[in-house]
Amino acid sequence: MEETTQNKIKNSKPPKPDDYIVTAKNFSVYYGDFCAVKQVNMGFVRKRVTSIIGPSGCGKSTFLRCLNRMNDLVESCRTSGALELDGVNIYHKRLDIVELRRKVGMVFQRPNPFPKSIYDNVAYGVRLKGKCQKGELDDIVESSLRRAALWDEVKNRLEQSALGMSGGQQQRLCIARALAIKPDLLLMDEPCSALDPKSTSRIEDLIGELAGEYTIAIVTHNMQQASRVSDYTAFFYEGSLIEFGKTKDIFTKPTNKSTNDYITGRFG
Amino acid sequence: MDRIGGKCEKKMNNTLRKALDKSFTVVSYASLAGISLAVALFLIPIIYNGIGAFIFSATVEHDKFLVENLNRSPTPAEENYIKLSNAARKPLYKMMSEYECPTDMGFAKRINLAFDSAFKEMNKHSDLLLSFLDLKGNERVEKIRELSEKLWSPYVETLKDIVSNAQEDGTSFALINILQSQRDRLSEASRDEIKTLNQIKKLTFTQRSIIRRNITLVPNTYIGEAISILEERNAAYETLKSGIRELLGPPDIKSKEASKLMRQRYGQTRTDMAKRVLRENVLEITIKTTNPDAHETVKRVKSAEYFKDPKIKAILAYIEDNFDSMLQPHATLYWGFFFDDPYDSNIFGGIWPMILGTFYLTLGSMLIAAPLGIVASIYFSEYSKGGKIIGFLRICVGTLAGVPSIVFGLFGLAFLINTVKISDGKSAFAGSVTLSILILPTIIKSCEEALKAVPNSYREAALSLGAGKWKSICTVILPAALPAMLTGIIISMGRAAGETAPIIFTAATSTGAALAISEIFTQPTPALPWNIYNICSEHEMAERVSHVQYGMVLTLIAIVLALNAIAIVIRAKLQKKIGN
Repeated sequence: MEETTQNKIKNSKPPKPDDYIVTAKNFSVYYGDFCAVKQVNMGFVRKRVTSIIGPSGCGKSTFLRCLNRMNDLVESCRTSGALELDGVNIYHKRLDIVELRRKVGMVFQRPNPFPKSIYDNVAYGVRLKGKCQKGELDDIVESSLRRAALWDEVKNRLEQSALGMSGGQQQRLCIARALAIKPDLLLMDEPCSALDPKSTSRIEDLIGELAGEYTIAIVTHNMQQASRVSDYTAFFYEGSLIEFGKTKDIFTKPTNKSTNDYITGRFG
Repeated sequence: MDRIGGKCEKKMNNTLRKALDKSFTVVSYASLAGISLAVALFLIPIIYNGIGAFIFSATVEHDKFLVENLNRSPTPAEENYIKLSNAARKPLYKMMSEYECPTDMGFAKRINLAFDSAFKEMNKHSDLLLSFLDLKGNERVEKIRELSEKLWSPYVETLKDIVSNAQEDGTSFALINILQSQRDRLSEASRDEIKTLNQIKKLTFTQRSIIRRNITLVPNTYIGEAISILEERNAAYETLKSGIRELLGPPDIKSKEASKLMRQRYGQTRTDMAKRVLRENVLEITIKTTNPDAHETVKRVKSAEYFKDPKIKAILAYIEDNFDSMLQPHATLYWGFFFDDPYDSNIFGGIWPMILGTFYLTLGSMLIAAPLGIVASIYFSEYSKGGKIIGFLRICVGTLAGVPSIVFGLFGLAFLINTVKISDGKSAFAGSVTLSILILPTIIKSCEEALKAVPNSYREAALSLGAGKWKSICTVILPAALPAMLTGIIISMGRAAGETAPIIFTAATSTGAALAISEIFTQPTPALPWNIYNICSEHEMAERVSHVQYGMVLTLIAIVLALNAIAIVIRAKLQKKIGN
């Protein structure tokens, strides 16, 4: 499976629909009368990092937040078209949102650990699922923290408040918290925009390590970041998907003029 | 040109801004200083006098009260105080009883002798009297009076002498009795005289009555005058005696048991009050002059100047000199002020029922209002989506928060007690419910603010991890909002503790014992705010219980401050736990 996708990247052919964990078909999002996302057709390749770039207000975050239906919190928000996770329509009326959100984890723009201990933060999602043995929970917390490359820094202070950590650590804790419930898809909404360069590079390294194990969708303003961490890139402009393809292709030979203008820094 | 003008304007603006900044600083410092001063002026007397309610200089009467009424076993020191004071009081009571019942009654003999001789004289002049009776009109009466004056003048002179002495040497009590018996003897004498005359010559009814009226008129008139003078002296002495009784308590156990009011069974328990009573009711007294021609007049006089009697002067001097040994003032710490029941309208004992009542009312209102308020605030903040009904409800809550508290009291009486009949009359429970309605809007508002202050990112994070709405509220939002919610709730609790108007109609009674928990639903209770009002303005001896007034105010302030302090501590602890 992995080899085939690698091959596909090499052969610069668009991935086959089977490899998409999420597919959007003519998917649009409206805030009241305003159309924030227009007729998007794209997919997220399984166990690859897909970045979504574009200028502010282009609808990239809105699109991302549709994937775990976070936009339900906005009352005037409605959608059309299809958005499928493993063939199931995310916006199906009878879909269990809680179940969906367990499958689709999310890391937000600003680190938002709960005002609880580090341990409780990571264990939060697991505990919600139901009863869990203490030993099992410990294992999950440890492995999640290890995967988020945070274990060595916090293993001696798991009971301390998460709010006492640095911003970069907090963001990695949020990643660990999302990983603890073993999501199929991990959404990252500009995860580094509130962090300093050093923390940013740590998070980027982490994304690199997680790639191959998780499907990651990351929204970013930073084009260097997109080119560094992602396998696929989608460029949004004014609510429309302008171009979608392998990152290398997008950044070296964009087919669309506005993509070219954006990545060369003419606007945005 | 424009550019220069602009620069100038900017510069001026800067100067102005700095001046404004400075003036704001000055004004804010001044207002801070003003507030501190006001707080100090307000609190210092309350704290100073309030502490005086339980740390004060007590007299031996305080110890007696504790031992006899509250069954405290006296310490050796207290037993000693009681012994010493009893010993010191003995000479005083002896002096007083000697004044009231003098043993030397020599003047009685003198008066009787004078009476007898005057009576004999009268018998000798029967013929003369009969001849006067034949005279006509005014002359007849005048002649008889002239004779009477002549006959009785030695007797009256003797009386005058004795009465004027009595004012000096304090035999007035005995003398009044003797004078009264002299009156009887005089009327008997006149009857005898009429009988004698009648034997000599048959008298008409008019003639008899003329003789009866006039023959002893002079001594009778004088005795009347003398008695009224002596009675005034006696009334003054009685006033002095009741002052002494107020200071020291009744002299013997018999009169102690007969007294229904506790205040008549003990003297002053506090040295400061005792000194005041000594100054105002013993060393100075109020004299009432009863003059039949005029209204009763009242005047204040100095006892030492008013009483000419050396015996009373000696009593006064003894009291003044032996004040300390009779009352044994000693510093004491009386925790019972908080934990004892009050006796005789708070003149004795403590304020425990009021403290307990306040506790019941406050805690009861909290138990009702806090859950309701929290649930309502969760609904407003987390579930409601706006709309007309929610907007209307919000306006209602806001309005309810601004309704005067007396209206809540009336509501409690009219609706809860008279309509719903949650109790037969006033009860602690009815008061709690009324108070809970009063503080509910405040609790809803503060809890809603606390919930709104929880960052939305917490909600998003919880939802993104697969928490449902209710789960996210229980596990993340409420714990994060808890410190601020608790602060709001506890501050409302302080308000409930201090509210007076709502409980006047629904729960408060000015006297009453501490309630047992089972009585909460049926019985009214005393409570600090109401009893403070009551004891300050309705009490019959308000100035005598000023220490209780201050003590109650201090206790109430301490309760409210303690609640606020608890709020601060809880907030700090929870926030430390959360890690903010």
